[in-house]
Amino acid sequence: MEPILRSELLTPWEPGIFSLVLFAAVVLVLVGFLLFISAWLGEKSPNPDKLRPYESGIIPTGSARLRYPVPFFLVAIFFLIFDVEGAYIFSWAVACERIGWAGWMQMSFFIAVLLLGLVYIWQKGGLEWGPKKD
Amino acid sequence: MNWMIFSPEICCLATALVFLFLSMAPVDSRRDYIVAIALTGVAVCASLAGIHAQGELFHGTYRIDLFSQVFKSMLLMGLFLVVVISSGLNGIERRYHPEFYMLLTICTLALMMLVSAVHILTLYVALELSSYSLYILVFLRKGRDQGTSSGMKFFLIGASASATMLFGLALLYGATNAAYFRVLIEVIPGVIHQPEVILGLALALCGFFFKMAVFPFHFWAPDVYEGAAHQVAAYISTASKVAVIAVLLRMAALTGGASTHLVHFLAILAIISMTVGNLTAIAQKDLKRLLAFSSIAHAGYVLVGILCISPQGNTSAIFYALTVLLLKFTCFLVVVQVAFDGENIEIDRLAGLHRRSPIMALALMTALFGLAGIPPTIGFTGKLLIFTAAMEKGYFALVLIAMFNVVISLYYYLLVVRAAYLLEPAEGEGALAPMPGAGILAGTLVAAIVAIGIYPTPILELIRAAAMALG
Repeated sequence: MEPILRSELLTPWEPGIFSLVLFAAVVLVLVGFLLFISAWLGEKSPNPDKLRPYESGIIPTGSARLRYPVPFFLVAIFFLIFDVEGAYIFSWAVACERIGWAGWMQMSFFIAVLLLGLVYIWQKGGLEWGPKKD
Repeated sequence: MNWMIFSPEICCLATALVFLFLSMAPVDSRRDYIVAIALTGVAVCASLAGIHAQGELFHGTYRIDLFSQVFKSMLLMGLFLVVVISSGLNGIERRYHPEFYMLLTICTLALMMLVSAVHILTLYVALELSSYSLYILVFLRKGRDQGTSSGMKFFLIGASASATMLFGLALLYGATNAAYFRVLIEVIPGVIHQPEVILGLALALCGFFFKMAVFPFHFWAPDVYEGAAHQVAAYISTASKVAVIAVLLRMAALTGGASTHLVHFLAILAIISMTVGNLTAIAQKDLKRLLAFSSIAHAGYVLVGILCISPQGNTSAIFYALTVLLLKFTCFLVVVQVAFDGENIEIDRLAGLHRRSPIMALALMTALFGLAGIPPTIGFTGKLLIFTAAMEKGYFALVLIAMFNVVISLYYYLLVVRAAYLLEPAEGEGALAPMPGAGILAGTLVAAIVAIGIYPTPILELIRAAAMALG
């Protein structure tokens, strides 16, 4: 077996690890120093205008917590599930003749499981849209 | 292709399908319970009948040998026992009961695939399938807040752990150009001193450390045990731990014991896990949280057996899987009976359990003494095997630290036993009315814990043969 990656991917443990440790230490010290010096020397005079979310001066209105209708979320999830299946079916279709009936059986099983899932969400009302019927 | 050797998995899949259809039928939880007991019982019989099956399936990505079959039998027994204590199932809303059974069986199917997988992709897919079923099971807890917050924690930590693991597997594949375990086991000992191989193995193990709740990935355990329904917590602490022990053994066997780095890595994790688990458990008030921290500590003990990478070490780890399965399940049996309403249970609520239900108090005491490693229980035998295996490899310091931890753990286990035996029951707490058959089940478990503790030879021989099949 030939390794794909030669050992150059990661440097050997030593002495390469020393430079990494030194570099990490320098980074930590520098970041700490910068944070400290800006907090220590910086002028702090907060006022309401400075604390606004938008620096352009636009005054925010309303709440940030929007209520979003759940059906959008459900449809997005279902789309994701049934879209990913496409990737498998296309790749099977490309190799369909070469993998023969065994591949056909496996793909049928896969699609049957997905159909069961579709029946389940349909039956549980996951595809209902709009106000509930009573 | 020989489908007979695949029959335990097929039983599990069929059970899951039955419950998928039942979930679309009108709600009837009594029917679900009876169907679940019958079908999982059949699956246990199928796995016991096929315990000596051998073969390979799916182009050699799936190996069936004594090692995998012993673990599958344990997993299915775990599933069966959890199903048996689900007769009340008050922690989960009635309309979700079929889904509960379906996800449990799917999770067991995934765990069975996990112990048989000998290809890194099969391994990953099986691990994800089992994790996703468990995430949903945790969310199913009645009363939105508890289940949702603990489920969210479980999911986020699990997702990051599996990403770490994928990265490790990619490094491993890049360094060796092999995805089959039978090739890896030949290639790895030769290239073990390359950083990417060690790093790949260590990161790949992280995904399983998460399921096992070993130290840096243990934060979910107490919240999930507390937030999930009792039966789900029982399943997480028994069946899913058993499967992970199997995979860790397989992964550790890949190195052939050639790497001291990996052994040190595992030893450090083992020491921190057991110390953190035991020390934090002392402060717990909630019984399920206490059991979670004790699980973290036990993960540490099992790692001591796994890192020996010797036949004795493997035997001891497999035996300890059985130990954890029996002891933890017995604890949860008592939890389910005392808190039959599905609410969480404080240790104080156990007060006077020996008056309210002597058999449950006896079961709790035996199981906790077993977890603490007091003879003549199975817990003592399990710990003895692990410590002798480690001593044979010369890890004296590790065994000493583990011994200290056993002494610490004795303290909080005894606190629980004290609550059950020495405190008087609170006013108005009458006799416990357990579910029918719980007394018989508790008696059987106590008998099994003591009997295997005193005379483990027949089971030990089977396990020894299974450990040989691993190498």
